[in-house]
Amino acid sequence: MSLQFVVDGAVAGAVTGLGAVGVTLTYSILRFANFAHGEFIAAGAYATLAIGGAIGVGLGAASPPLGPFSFSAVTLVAAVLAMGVTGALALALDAVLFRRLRDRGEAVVAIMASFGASMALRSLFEAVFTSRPAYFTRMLQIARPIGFGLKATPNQLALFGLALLLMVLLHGLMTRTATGRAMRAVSENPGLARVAGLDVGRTIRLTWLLGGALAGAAGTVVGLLVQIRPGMGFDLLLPLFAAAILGGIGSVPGAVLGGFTVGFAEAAAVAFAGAQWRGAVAFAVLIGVLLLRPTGLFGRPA
Amino acid sequence: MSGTSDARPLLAAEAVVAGYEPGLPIVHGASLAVAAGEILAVLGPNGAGKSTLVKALAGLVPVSRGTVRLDGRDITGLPAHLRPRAGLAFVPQTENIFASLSVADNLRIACDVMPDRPRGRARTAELLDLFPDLARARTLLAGRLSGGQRQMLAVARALVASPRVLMLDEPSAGLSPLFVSDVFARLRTIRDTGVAIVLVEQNVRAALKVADRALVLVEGRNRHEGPAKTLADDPAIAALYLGGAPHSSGSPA
Repeated sequence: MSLQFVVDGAVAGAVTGLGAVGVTLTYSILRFANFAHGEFIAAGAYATLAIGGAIGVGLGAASPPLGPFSFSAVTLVAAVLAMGVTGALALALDAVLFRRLRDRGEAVVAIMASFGASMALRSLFEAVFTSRPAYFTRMLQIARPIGFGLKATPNQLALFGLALLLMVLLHGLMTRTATGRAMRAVSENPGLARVAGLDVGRTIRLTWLLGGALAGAAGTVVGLLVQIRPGMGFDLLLPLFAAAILGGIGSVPGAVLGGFTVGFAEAAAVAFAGAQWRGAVAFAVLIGVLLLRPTGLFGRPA
Repeated sequence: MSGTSDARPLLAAEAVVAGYEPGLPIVHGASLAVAAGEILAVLGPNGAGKSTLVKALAGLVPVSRGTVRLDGRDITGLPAHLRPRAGLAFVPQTENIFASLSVADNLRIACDVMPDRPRGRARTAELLDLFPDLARARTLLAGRLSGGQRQMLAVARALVASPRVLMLDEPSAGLSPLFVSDVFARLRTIRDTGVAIVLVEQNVRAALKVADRALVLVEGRNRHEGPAKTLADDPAIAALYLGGAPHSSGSPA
């Protein structure tokens, strides 16, 4: 029996966690499941690809990969800028779509609208970038031993660390800063938040910006580890929601833990039952949580 | 004696028409004025529009006509979240604390929104001395506090910004009599520091005891107004609007 699935699970878990914290943030404050979150992820990957390409053209030369990794410094700069792009995309979608629906107070309508936005964005990616998979680089990465008989590629290690770092930073933001307190307060009781002097509209915009930016980072990570496709984010949606709900909607540590649980479960299913079972795992986790503990691990009762 | 009705009002509402739905006002032209160092009780039967009036003054319910002035400045259209900064604090009746946040974070939020955060932190330290229960429970989630402690936290949160006007919507609701007298004793202390207090209450007897003046609302309009003592001693008013005479003579209608 090989324990290699632990590495795959950890990497998949970090990616899922990174996406799920965005889902949990927007869900807890806006009270609806945003199905377009997957497209923010794909948008992040394509934005990094496009910005990186544009910088490459501007420099007039291909930049060399950084050390043992397959990506260059240009890709990293592009990835940071892409986080801004996806954050802005989330804000724009809120301004033209969700804010209007929120004012009418019907969550179901907002959910359906997010589904529509998801399809529209996916079609847009297909129209602009075609449906053929794209890659940041064609360079092959060799997995190296990392101890305990396990192997990982340098990319996997670096991106695992990066995802973890982003999640720790977000947790610090939520628990230790005025912005995080405002987000938690608005999430619990927007009316009282106004009474307490918090600008609820500003906090909602910040949440979109943050959730979108983290989705963008997740997209670049998935693009580097796997490939870039218009449907890459949509395919991640079920694991993301499973992770967010497992952790308890609104809880950042919960979403991270949920992400790792789903990631390990998926990797174990692939290793022991066969790759065709991968997709069923998130579904099984989701149904199990909803039946056994609907508030999730760290959720508060509604 | 603290509390004089002829002093220049700190908070003044004139002929305010307000309601949740457009075209369906609940407050039909009510007026009130409260001066520094004065407690004004807003009384009246259920559905008289007392809560709606204070929510309108807090900016939570739209005001369709009339004006609200804070120390002479027209704040009728000022967004609710800017009012604490302007010196107008409000303690809602229910869900007036963030249950999922720690006691300390509940108070920190009040500091966060102040232009002068160090002053807010200094004031928070003073308030924790004033409310030792809260100081002991600092790290607890506010949702785990008892009813009385929650009310203290809600009041303390409102006081962090050192407001000039403090409005409370039924602070005695759901509290045991012991806590009610404790809360009201603290209101008196706060008043004595020069704060103007607007107190909406169902507990008429207790409210008239603590208040300097009282306003009786009926069907969204001013019906009676005067010194709290006068209203408390007027059996007609007690029987008609206050749900029972304060001196256990006369039976309620």
